[in-house]
Parts: sequence; C-alpha cells; structure tokens
Amino acid sequence: MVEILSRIQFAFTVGFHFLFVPLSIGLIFLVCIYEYKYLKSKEVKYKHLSEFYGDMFVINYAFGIVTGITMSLQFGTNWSAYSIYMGDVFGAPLVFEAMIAFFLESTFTGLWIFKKNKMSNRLRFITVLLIFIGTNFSALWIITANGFMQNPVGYALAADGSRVLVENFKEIIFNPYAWYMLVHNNISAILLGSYFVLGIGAYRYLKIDKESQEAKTFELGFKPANILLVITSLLMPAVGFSYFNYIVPIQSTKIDAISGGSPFVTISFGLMVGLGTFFIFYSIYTLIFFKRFMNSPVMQKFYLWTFPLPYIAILAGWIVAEVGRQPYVVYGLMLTNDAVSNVPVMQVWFSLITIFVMYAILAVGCIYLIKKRITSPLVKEESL
Amino acid sequence: MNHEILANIWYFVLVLVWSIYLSQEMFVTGVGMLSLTFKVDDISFKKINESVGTFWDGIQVWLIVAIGGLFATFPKAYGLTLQALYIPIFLLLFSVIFRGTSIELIYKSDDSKWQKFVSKIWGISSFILIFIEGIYLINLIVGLPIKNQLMTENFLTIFSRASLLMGLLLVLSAISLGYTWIKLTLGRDFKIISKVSILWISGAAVFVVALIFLSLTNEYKLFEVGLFSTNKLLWIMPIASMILYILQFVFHLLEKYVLMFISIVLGLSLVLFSGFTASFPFILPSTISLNDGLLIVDAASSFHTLKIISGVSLVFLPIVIGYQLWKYISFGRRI
Repeated sequence: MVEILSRIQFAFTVGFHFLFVPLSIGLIFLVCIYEYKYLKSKEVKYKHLSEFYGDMFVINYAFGIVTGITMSLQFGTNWSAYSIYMGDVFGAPLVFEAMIAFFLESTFTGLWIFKKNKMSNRLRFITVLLIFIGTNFSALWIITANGFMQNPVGYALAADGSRVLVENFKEIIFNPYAWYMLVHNNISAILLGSYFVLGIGAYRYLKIDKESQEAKTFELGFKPANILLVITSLLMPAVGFSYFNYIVPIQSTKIDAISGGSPFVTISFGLMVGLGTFFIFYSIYTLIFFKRFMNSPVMQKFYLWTFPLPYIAILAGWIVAEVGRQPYVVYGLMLTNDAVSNVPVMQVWFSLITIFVMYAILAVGCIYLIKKRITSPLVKEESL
Repeated sequence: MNHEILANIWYFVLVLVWSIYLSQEMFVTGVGMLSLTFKVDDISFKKINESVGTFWDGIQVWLIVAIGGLFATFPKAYGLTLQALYIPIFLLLFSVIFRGTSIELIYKSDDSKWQKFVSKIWGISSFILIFIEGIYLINLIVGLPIKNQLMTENFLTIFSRASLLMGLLLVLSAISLGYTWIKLTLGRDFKIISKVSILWISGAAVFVVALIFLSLTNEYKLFEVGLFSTNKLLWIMPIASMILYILQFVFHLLEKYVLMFISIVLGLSLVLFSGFTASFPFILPSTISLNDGLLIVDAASSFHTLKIISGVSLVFLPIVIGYQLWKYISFGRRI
C-alpha cells in the first residue's frame, strides 16, 4: 500500500510540477528575445512585451520552484530505500543542479521581480539571459539524474551489493540517453512557450481596440513567437525519431509498452505524435497567412482554446518515458517495489491528502493570477 | 586525504551551509512575522516586502543545497532522517510552499485584499517554517530513537524540551534580525513596533540559548563524550555564542543595528557548530544507545563521489557567493 500511495503521490506531484517547468524554460527564452530587441532597437513596445510575458513567467516560476522542493524532499520521505541504494550516483546531479543552475536562476529572478525598473537596459538583458541559462542548466542536471534511471551507465555495485557507486562520472554526464531527452525536452518547452505567447496574447488581443498602441505591441510580439513555433514543431519529430531509434535496442520493455504492451503508454505515445503533427501544420499555416491570422478572431481564438494542447503532448511524452520504465525504478537495476520507505501507511495517506488540498489551492491561485494579469492592460503602472 | 577525513569535512561544510542559509532566511522570516503587527501605510509596506523579496529567491536555494547536499554526501543519513521525520518534513514543505509563493506573488495582483491576505499567509508560514527548522536541526544533534536504522517510537518524540527551545530560539532570533533588517534598509526612523516589546524579544533569546546548552548538557550529556571531552579548547564555541547573544542585546540597547545583526548571525551559527561538534562522529545519534547511532563515515558517499562533489563545490560555491554578495551590495542599500 505504501508503494501504491507513494507512486500516486510522486506521479501527481511531478506531473503538477511539470506543468510549470517547460513553460518557464520556453517563456524566458521569448522574454530574452524581446529584451534583446529592446536593448538593440530601444523600441519601448518590446520592453512592454518582455514585462507582460515576464510577469507570466514569474507567476509560473513561483509555482514551479515551490512544487520542485516537494520533489527533492520526497526522495527521502517516500523513497528512502532508493535514496540509500542510489544516493552515491543520484545525489550529486541534484546538488549540482542547485549549485550550478538553481542559484543562478533564482538569484536573478528575484532581482527581475523586484528591481527590473531600477536597472540599466543592458543589465535587464543580462538578467533575463542568466535566468535562461540557469533554467537550461537546471534541466540538464535533472535530466542527467533521470537519464541514469532510464539507462544506467558509468556505475559499479558496492562489494556487498548494498548500493550503487559512481565509477565513471563522465559517462554519467555524457549518457546519450540523457542528451536525447534534454534536447527533446527543451525544444518542446520552447514550443510550449511560443504557443502560450500566441494563445494568451490572443486572449488580450481579442478584447482591445486594434488601432491602440497595445494592439500594435502584440502584433510585434506574435511574429517571433510564430516563427519559433514553426521551427520547434519541425525539430520535434526529427529529434524524437532519432531518440526513438536510440531507445529500441536498449529499453526493450519500453518499446513493447509503446507498441501495444501497455494501453496507457500506447495511447500516450499516439497522443504525443498526433499533437506534434497538428502543431506543424497549424503553425506553418499561421506563418504563411500571418496577415490573415492578425485579422482573424477565429484563428486567434483557436490558439487561445487550444493552448493546453502542448501541455498534454508534453505530459504524454513523460508518461511514455516514466511509465514505460516500469516495473523498474532504475532500468534493469532496481525495482520500484524495492525503493519505498519503511513508513506507516497512515503517514503516506496524510501527505497524499494534504498535498492534493494544497495543490488545489495553488492551482486556484495560479489561475486567478494569470487571469488577473491578462485582463489588465499590457503596461502596468508601477507605484514605486 | 582519505575517505573518512573528507566525509568529516563535508559534515561540517553542511553545518556551514545551514548557517549561511539561516543567517539570511531569518531576516526574511523575521520581517514576515513582524508584518503581522505592522500598522504602516501601503507604500511603506510594499517597500519592506520588496526589500526582502528581492533576496528571497537566492536564499531559498541554500536550503535546497543543505538538503540536497545531505543527499549527495550522506545518502544514508538523508534517507533515514527524512523517512523518520516524515510528517514534520511535509509540514516544513507546506510552510516553504506557502511562504515562497506569498513572497513572489504578493504584488502580482493589484487588489489590496489579495495583498493583505497573502501578507498574513507570509507571516504565519514564516513562523511555522523557522520553528520546524529548529526542531529538525536539534533532532539531528541529539538524535532520534532509532534502532537497526528504524524509528522505534512515534514521530511525536521529536517535540522534546530541547527541540521546542531551539524552535523558539530561531523564532526570536528571526524577529530580531527582521527588525534590524528593516532599520538598516528603511532607516532608523521607520517605526514598526514598539521598542520595548522588541527589546523583550532580544533579551529572551539570551535565556533561551542558555537553556538550550543546559538541556544539551544535562539531559543529553552531549558534552561529556566525544570531541568536547577530549579537547577543552572547543568550549570556546558555546561560550562565544552565549557572549554574542548577550552582545546583540547590548547592541540593541545602543541602537547599533549592524553590530546587532552580525552578533545574532554569528551567535546562532556557533550554536549550530557547538551542537554538531558535540554529536560528532555521529551524523544521526540514537537516543536508545550509542551503538545504534549512524556514524558520519558509514553514511557517506564513496570517496570518489565525495571528491567530485568537492571539486564542483570549490569552483561554483565561490561564484555563487560572489554574485549574491554583488546583489546585496548593489540592491540591498537603503531605499
């Protein structure tokens, strides 16, 4: 029972956390582009775009950071057997993530939230650029850890078999599995970010006077997002295909699961591929007929109403990766069943239920704030 | 350098990380708790929140390094303590979540009702957060009722006299630090709370520190075995921390806020170092018998892994400290 509850808890918390992560990675990339254009052209419209989507980034980031802390504690609370067996290999990437990436990302996000109006244009750009670098390094280390669980390399078993030890750290870092995953993941994040810029921007754009300054600002912002969307949706299948071919010989159980062995995994895989195909066609269509898109409330509404689709595609992809790995927690090395903590089941019920309640509150807060931000004008008056 | 020495070094590095974290965390939680008593206008209120909010994000990561660092360098200690302290860890997590989102999102809506509501959450979760951290730390120092690496009693045993005192000490120190932070960044004339009541808090901290050391000595006999019994010079640490807590009260009376800030930060760090030095060589002592405790060297990662982590830390931690200091210097000045 502890295992099932812990798995539900982990799946739920990581899934919830991952609603925020890819948007952080993707959105800050677009904010960087706007901020760079502002630095180069001094066109204030770019500044407004960067701050509007920067606010979205911050809201999203805030929920991402706190739900991420849950993950780093859960390995100990719910998966302590895993932590003890795998800690020698698994702990290092996690702490490197904090030291190398997360410090950078968070130190400068704090600066961006509270002091962006007291900085030079150059420092503004450097700040968002460092946040972007931080988020990407963050993904790198987490995926290095996850890559080991998918395809363990560079390790040796302790003499008494009680734990897994690092033998060659270079191999762990340059694990091809992790790099395929990283590229696939980060491109999908930028795809999501671009889609979000179009969809959420459309919500506001539909409501305002098309001759206003605000409308002109959005027009300026949509084009780069559309171009990025085309590029990323074309890259996705190219990367995905070679990733898949790489997995075939090394994770046979996952391939079996995809090709009908586990209906849940099969459907998720189909969903991911299907949605990916849709993104290609719709983004190219929008780019070719960009003028029509700008004048067509129907097309804009379509982006608005379909903005959850990239989320669904991304979660489906992760379901393939993680559920497809079962019954192993570390492929071929450790069964999920052997990884759980020795805790009273009542305690796990407690955490599971309280997390559901907490996250429901967080979800409401997040929707409230995003809604509040997109219903207010693009340019906010600063009182300080 | 061998495995055991490097493991011991990492044990104290983690204490240092906790000290660096708490030195900063406490002024943020302190301001949060004080804000429950504020009677100031909205502009001043926003200024105060902004003055700590700017730094919170970077500070929070020190907590993650402290916990992630325990995972990476002492996986066994990480696994055993978090499993044993399951419920308190989740309570800690929830307070981290509520406090963090409040700080970042308080001004993401202009609705003043939202801001007041969020500010209350910020204050209450700050109190719970810092209190539980005190309880967590003292339990690592005095140990848990573990036998064969499993808790033999209900988790409620962690609420002992010593742990409640340590929680209280962190709360009191945090309020004092929050107070000095406001004085330093917003100016001495900034009136937020009566001087008399804040003086009581500073004064009480002195007694609480003394009571903690008494409890560690009398109830847990921590200073009778291990390093303190063999090396009398180490007594400098608890004595200096007592003196520093007395000094912070004196500096408070004299309105020397920079010195008061430094005294609290150093005083508390020395409380931690005294405690963790006393429980050496156990990373997790057992309150049942000495032999059931988990030794630092037994909990540590392999020598190879510790060397890799040391190398990366030696390069990156100075860089982190560098840009965080730059941020304090550039943006921490009086507003």
